[in-house]
Amino acid sequence: MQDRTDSRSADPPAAEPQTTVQVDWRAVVEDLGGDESLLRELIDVFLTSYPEMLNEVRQGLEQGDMRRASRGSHKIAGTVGNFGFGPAYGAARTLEQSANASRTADAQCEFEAVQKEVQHLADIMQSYLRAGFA
Amino acid sequence: MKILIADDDPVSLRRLEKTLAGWGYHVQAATDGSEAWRLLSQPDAPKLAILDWVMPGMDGIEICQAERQLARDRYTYILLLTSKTAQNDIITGLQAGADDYLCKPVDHSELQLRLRAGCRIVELQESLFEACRALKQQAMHDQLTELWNRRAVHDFLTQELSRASREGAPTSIVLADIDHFKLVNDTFGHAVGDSVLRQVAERLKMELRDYDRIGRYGGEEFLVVLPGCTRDDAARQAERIRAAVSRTAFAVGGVTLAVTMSAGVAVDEGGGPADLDTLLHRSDVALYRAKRSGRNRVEVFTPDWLGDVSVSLALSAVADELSDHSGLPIPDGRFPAPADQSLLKFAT
Repeated sequence: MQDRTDSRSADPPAAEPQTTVQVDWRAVVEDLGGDESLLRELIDVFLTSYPEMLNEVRQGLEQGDMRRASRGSHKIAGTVGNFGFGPAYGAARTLEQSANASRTADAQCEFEAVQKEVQHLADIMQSYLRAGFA
Repeated sequence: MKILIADDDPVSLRRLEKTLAGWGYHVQAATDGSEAWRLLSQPDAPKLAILDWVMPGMDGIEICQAERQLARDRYTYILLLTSKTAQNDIITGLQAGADDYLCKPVDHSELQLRLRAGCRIVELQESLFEACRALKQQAMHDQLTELWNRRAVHDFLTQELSRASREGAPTSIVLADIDHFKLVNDTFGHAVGDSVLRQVAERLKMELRDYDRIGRYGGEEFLVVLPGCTRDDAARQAERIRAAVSRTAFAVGGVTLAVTMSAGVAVDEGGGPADLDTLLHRSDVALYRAKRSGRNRVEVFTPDWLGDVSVSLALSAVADELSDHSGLPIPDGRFPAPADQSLLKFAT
């Protein structure tokens, strides 16, 4: 995917979130055809829906339903991909691969990273909604 | 063009929806595979679909397979979206029936161009289907009256008799013929004759139920198939047909023509092996009887007639021919009434 972050590392996320990573919102808006209102709308949709997406993966892992966990992490990767946020996307893809391979222990650990990165993205979005490009 | 998009990821779905709408597509959005399949199964479903591979309910592959298994006279162009990029995955997607394949995250410039190609395919398919429909229409319908042609109504009757035989249900037919039609052509020309045929066909259609069938069986002869009709029902229906033609005169090319029609009814009671030829022959005998009895009337075949008319039936064509060539004067565009004894003399 095309990374819209100013990340200093393209490596897959570790368990700790790359909390310093920000989103290049101007690049995202450009990618949306210059439609900033669409970006705000998509952020609203994300902020409304991501807790349920995380919950879906959590339940899959808790119940040993790796197919469900895989599907849920796939959905998260697809969602965050729209915002060009590499760390969350990478974490979700890694989790999806572990779930597909039924590597339960890895998946449990990787889910922690996904949660943190997704939460971090949500925080960045809240900041953007408050302050815009500033 | 209408387009279906299906993705369980609400952000991607909304983004795609807005983008496609901005490109001028009329978008229908589905949040899972089952909803997508429901929308694709509608009669007026979009002919272009963008489906995510991984979805709850039915996934994109299952929808492709289900769509391709349906035999219907339209084509749905399917573009599959997925993050599965291995060659095996691509082969799986295309084997399932996808027309094209695009990896996620979607590059919207690429999507726009691929959709243009999809639209071209859909438009070509539509042209092809339209040509097929036109050919089928031509093959099964009479060009002048737009009724079914002889072969098509014959085929329908064959199928209907077979079904009625299995179910023990009756099937009736009405063989109807415009009286003295040749005089119309000879006196007013074929353009007027054609117009009369079209108007008669319209009136006959108006009198039929949705599940009845009518075809132009010969020059001025019509065959009506009445599924499930008993002898009495068929006689009433035939009478309605006859009355519909004679009730009001036909205005054609500046002249007013009083046209009448004779009809013969035959009934297959069902429950036994149906014989198409016998049924048609009986309707022919009944029609002959109606003609011989003065025209503008309905006769229902009765087995008692068989001995009586077997010889005279052979003469009926000649008799009708004679009557149509009788050269009778046609004052003010009217045709001989059934009571016209001079005509009856020819006909018998």
